[in-house]
Formats: sequence, structure tokens, C-alpha cells
Amino acid sequence: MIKKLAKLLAGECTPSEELAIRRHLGNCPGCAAELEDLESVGLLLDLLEPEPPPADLLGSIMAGIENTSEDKNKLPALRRRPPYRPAGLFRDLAVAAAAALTVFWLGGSLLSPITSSADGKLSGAVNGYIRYTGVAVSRTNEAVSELNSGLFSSAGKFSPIKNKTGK
Amino acid sequence: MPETDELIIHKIIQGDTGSFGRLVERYQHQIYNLALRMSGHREDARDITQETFIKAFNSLPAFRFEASFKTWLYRIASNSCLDYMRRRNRDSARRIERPPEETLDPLELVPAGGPGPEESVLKRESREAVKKALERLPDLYRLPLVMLHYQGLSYQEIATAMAIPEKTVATRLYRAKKMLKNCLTGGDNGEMFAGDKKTGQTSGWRMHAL
Repeated sequence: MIKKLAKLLAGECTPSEELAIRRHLGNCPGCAAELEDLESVGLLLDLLEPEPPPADLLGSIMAGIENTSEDKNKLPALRRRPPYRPAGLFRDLAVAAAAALTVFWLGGSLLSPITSSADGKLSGAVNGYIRYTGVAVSRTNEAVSELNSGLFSSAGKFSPIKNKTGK
Repeated sequence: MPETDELIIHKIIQGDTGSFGRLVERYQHQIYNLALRMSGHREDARDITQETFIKAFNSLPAFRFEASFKTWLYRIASNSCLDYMRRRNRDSARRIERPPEETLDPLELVPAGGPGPEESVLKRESREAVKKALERLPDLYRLPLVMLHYQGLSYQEIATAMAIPEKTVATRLYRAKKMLKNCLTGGDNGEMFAGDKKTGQTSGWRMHAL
């Protein structure tokens, strides 16, 4: 109810809300006193009257804007980029996918000696990657064994990586 | 019939930057007085007003014509006021505090037959007391009170300007008035401390801005 009194004073109540509040005030001395309290604050605030702005305020604001505009003109035209469009996103994704396939195709071919036919290239790429990862896994397992035997003989041992291809 | 704000903005965006002066003329009085009631100093109010309008000009390309220019401008002004107060509070430890400015008192130039000198002094003292009490309110409470009472903004406009819900506006307004009343009538020791400007402390209990 108390906040509604502030709302009433601010003229923010609907007619039905105001009616309900006025009815309540008629039966509630506490709220009536509270309303009087809030009204008195308004009267106190009215003691401070508005002041005119300085006479040269408009001029100094427009001068400030002139300076801002001049600074903007000195900036290169590329400062504003066109908005990113969804069509551009799809185009970029397609290019990225094509690039990845190309890398995969050529990369696999580089790792494998088989380069003759399209089928051969594909199997070469796949086999190349399998061999490459197999080599990487073997090297990692060797490093793990060295660590286990040398430094951590009394502590828990690391488990070697299991190559799912069995190599 | 005067041009609408939106029509002027269209002209400015199309290159007629001089038209921005018409918007400044329309709103400088309101923004200046908001800044004055927030900062308590005319020079600070001038700086805040200048900053507000320059920011508004630079942000015009981003203005969506969904909200009114007035509400949008008050949003910028609110942020400018709060940022300025934060910077000033941060710097106040490093410099000597300026004494608060005395309010202009047109009643000092009272013509014959007007209120007597005693009444003028009393009114001036009351004005100074209200001014001091207002300046001691936490910034986040003072701002909605000033916008409501001196600028005539609605709860919804204040909520938009401060980016808070209307319920929070109502709560802050109520608390601001109670704190002001307590300060001016000597309730709760008559002292109101605002350590950091986000909270208000009265007689040992702390109120956090919602």
C-alpha cells in the first residue's frame, strides 16, 4: 500500500486504482499520515527551482560536435564494415569444407605411395592416416614406457594408448 | 507546426548536422537541470550536458525510431550523470572538495511589498537544506527522484532511462523520499551517509539499491 501512495502522488494510478486507494485512506489513519509525509517531501523539493542553462552551452555543444565530425572524416573509409550476411556464412563454410577435403586428400596422398586412381587415392589417404597415427601412437607408448621405468618406478604407472586398429 | 524530433533526426542522418542544434535547444534546459540536481555544481552540470549531447549525436546512426528521442536522450543523460558521479567520487579523495554552490535566489531581489528579508533568509536556508539533503542521497536513488519530480518523467520513462523494472523505480522513489524526509526533519540522527554511492546508510543500517 505504501508504494501505491507514492504511485498515487506521481499520478501513475489508473482511475480504479486511485479509487481503491482513496477508499483505503478513508479508513486507515496510518496510510493517510504516510501520504501526508510523502506530499511534504514534494513540497520541499519544490523549493529548488529550475535554472536556465549557460547562454553559450548550445555553442559549445555544437563546437564539440564539429570537432567530432572532423575526427571522423580523417578516419579511413574501411572503418565501417558492411554487416555480415547469412549467405556469406554458408559460402565461407563451404569453402572451409572444400579446403579440409583438399588437405585430407592431398595429405593422405603425401603420406602414402599409392597415387594412381581415384579409388587408390582415397585408400591411400585413409591408409596414410592410419599409418601416421599408428606411428604417433607407437612413439607415445615408447615415451610412456620410458617414464614408467625411469622416473615413476615406485609410483603409479601410466597406461599405454590402445590403438584400435591393433597396430 | 514545429518539426517532430524524428523528422529532425532524419535530416541530420542525411547530412544536415546543423539541425542537431534544434534538438539541443529543445532539450538542453531539461538535461542541464537533471545534471545540476545530480551533481550539485553548475560547471559539472555543463560538462555532463555537453557530454550527453555529443554522445547522442555520435549515436544517432544507431537510433531506432521505436522509442521516442526524449526517452533515448534521457537514457544517455542518466548514464552520463552516473558515470560522472562515479569519476568524481573516485577523484574526490585526491583533491580538495569544492564547497557546494549556493542556489540562485531570485527572492534576494525582492521588490517593495514582497516577502520581508527574514522570510527570504528562511526560504534560502530551507532551499540549501533541501539541496544538501538531495545531494547526499545515493546516486541511484537521487536519479529517479530528480527525473520524476523535476523532469516530470513517468515511471515507465524512468524505467527505460535507467534500464530497470518499473517496480524498482517505485521502490527507489519511495525510499528516496523517506531518506530525504528523515534527513530534513532530523529523524534517525538526521544524518545520511553515502559511503559508496550505491548504498545509503542511515543510523547504522545499510540499504542496497535494488
